[in-house]
Amino acid sequence: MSDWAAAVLAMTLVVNAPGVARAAAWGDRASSRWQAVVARAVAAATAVLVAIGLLTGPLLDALDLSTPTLRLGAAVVIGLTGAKWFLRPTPPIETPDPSPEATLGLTLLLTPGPVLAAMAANGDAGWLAGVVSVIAAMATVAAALVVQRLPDPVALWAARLLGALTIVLAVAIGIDSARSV
Amino acid sequence: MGRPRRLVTWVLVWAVTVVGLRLTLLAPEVCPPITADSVHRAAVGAADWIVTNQFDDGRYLYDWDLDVGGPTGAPYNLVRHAGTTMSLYQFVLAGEDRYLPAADRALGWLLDRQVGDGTIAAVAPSPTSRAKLGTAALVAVGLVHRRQATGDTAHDELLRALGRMMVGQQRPDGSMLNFWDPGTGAPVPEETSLFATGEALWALALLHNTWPDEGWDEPARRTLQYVATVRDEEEDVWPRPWADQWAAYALNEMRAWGLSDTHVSYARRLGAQWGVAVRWESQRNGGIDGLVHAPEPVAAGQGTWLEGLAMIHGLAIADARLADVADDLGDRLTCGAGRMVAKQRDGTGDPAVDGGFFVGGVTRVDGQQHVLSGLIFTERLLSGTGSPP
Repeated sequence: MSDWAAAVLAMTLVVNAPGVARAAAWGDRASSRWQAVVARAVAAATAVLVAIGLLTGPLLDALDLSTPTLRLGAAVVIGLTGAKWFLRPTPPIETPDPSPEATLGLTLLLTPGPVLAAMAANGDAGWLAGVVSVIAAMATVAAALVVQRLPDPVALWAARLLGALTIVLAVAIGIDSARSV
Repeated sequence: MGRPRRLVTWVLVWAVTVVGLRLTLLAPEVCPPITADSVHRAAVGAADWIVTNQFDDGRYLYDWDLDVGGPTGAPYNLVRHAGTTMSLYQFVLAGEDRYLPAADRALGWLLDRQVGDGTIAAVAPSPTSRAKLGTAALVAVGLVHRRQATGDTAHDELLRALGRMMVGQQRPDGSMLNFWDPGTGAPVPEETSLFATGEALWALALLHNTWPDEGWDEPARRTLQYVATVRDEEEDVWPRPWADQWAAYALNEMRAWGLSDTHVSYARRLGAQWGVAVRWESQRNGGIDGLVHAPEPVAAGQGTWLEGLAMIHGLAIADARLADVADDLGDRLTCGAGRMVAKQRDGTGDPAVDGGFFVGGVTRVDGQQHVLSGLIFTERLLSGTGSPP
C-alpha cells in the first residue's frame, strides 16, 4: 500500500464516521440548524487537524523525535482508538455539553487518534497527503452526520467493524515503524 | 448550562495521552552533537584503551569491572582478539599508523596459534583444539586491511590459506561449518555459527576484491544468498533479519558485484534493525523513559549498530535502490555515534577506564573494538571523506 493510501485509510478509519454519527444522537438530521452545527464543528476540526499536520515537522524537531518513532506512537494511539470504538463505542448522546459544536468538534472529532493520524500522515506521506487525508476523512464524517439514519444496532456494528479495521491498520502501521530506519 | 463533563473527560484523555506518550514511546530521542574531530578523539580514546592495556605478548586486557577494580575473570576469547586486531587495522587503514605496532603484536600472538595441514590455515587456542571459522575469517579481514594500509604482501600466502580454510567449511547451500578439527584435518560436521558465517562471507568478499581472478567471489555469492534468504530461519533467530553487521560489511564490500533485489531488500531490512535500535536506545535517558527502554545493551552491541549502519549507508550511497533511506541511515549513525562519544569514560587517569565504554560498570575489549570501528566510519561521513571503503 502506498503512503498516500495508508494515510487516507488511517484517517478515514480512525475518525469512525458511523460511530460519531451514532453518538451525535441529539441532532435533527433534517434541520438546517443541525447542518450548521455540523458545518461549524467539522470545519473547525478539519482546520485544526490540517494545521497540526502541517506543523508536524517543526513539532518533531522541537520534541526531538524522528518520523518512524512518531509513527510507532501514532500506531499505538490509533490502535487504542480503534479498540475503544470496537469494545465500547460512544453511546448516543441526547444532551450535548457544554455546546453542540464543542461536543461534536472536540470530544468526538479532535481526539488523540485523529490528531496522531494526521501527524503521522504528514510525516510519512508529505503535507499534501496529510491535508487530503484529513479532508477525505472529515467529508465522510460530515456526510454521516447529515444523512445517517441507520437503525441503532446497525450503526453500532458499523462503528465496531470500523474499530476492528482500525486495530488491524494500527498493527500494520506499528510493524512498518519497526521496519523503518 | 450544566457542568461540562464531556469536555473535562476530553481534557483528561488528552492529558493522559500526551504525558503517557512523552514518558514512553515518544520520549525524546537525544542525539548529542558531534563533529568529525570529536568522533576522531573518541576513536583514539577507544584505540588507546586497547593498546595501552595490551600485554607484552600481544594479548589484550579482556575486560574490566569498575566495582572490583580489575578483570571479571571471564575466559579470553580468540575470536574477539582477532576482531579487535582487525579493528586496529581498520584504524591504521584510516590513517592512524601509530597503532600498527600494537596490531602487529596482536597478530603475532594469533599467528603463534596457527594450525593447518599445509594447504589451509586456521587459528586455534592449542594445536589440538578445534579452530573456529570466525577467528580465521577475522584474521583474514585484518590481514587484508593491513595489506591495504601498508602495501606489505608478506602474508599473502597465509591469506590464501585462510581463504581455502573458509571455502572448505562451506556447505553446498552456502552455509558454513563453524569448526575445523586438527585431529581429523576436516571440518566438524553439522555445527554452524550465527556469527561466523557473516564473518567468513566478509572475508571472502575482501579476498575477491583483493585478487579478482582467483575465484573467491563464487563462494562469497553462495553464502550471501544463504544469509540473505534462509540463514535466520535455519538458525531459528528472531526478530529477523538477525542484525548481522558482518553481513552488512560484506554487502558493502560486494556493492559493485551486481547485488540482486533480494540482497538489497535484505540490506534495507538490516538497516532498519539498527535504525530502530538507535532510535529506541536514544530514548533511554533516565527516569521513566529509562525504565521503559531498558536494559542498555553492552557496548559491543551498540558498536555493531554503528558498524552496520555505516555499511548499509555506504551501500545506500552507491545503490539507487536504497537511496530513499540514505539520509535516515546517516542520521541514525551520527545519533548512535554521538551517544557513544558522550558515554565514553575519560579523565580518571586510570588506563583501564579512560577511553572505555562501560555498561553496568563493566567493559569488554570488543566494546572498544566495535565502537572504534563504528566511529571510524562515522568520522568519514562527518568529514565528507565519503562512504566506507
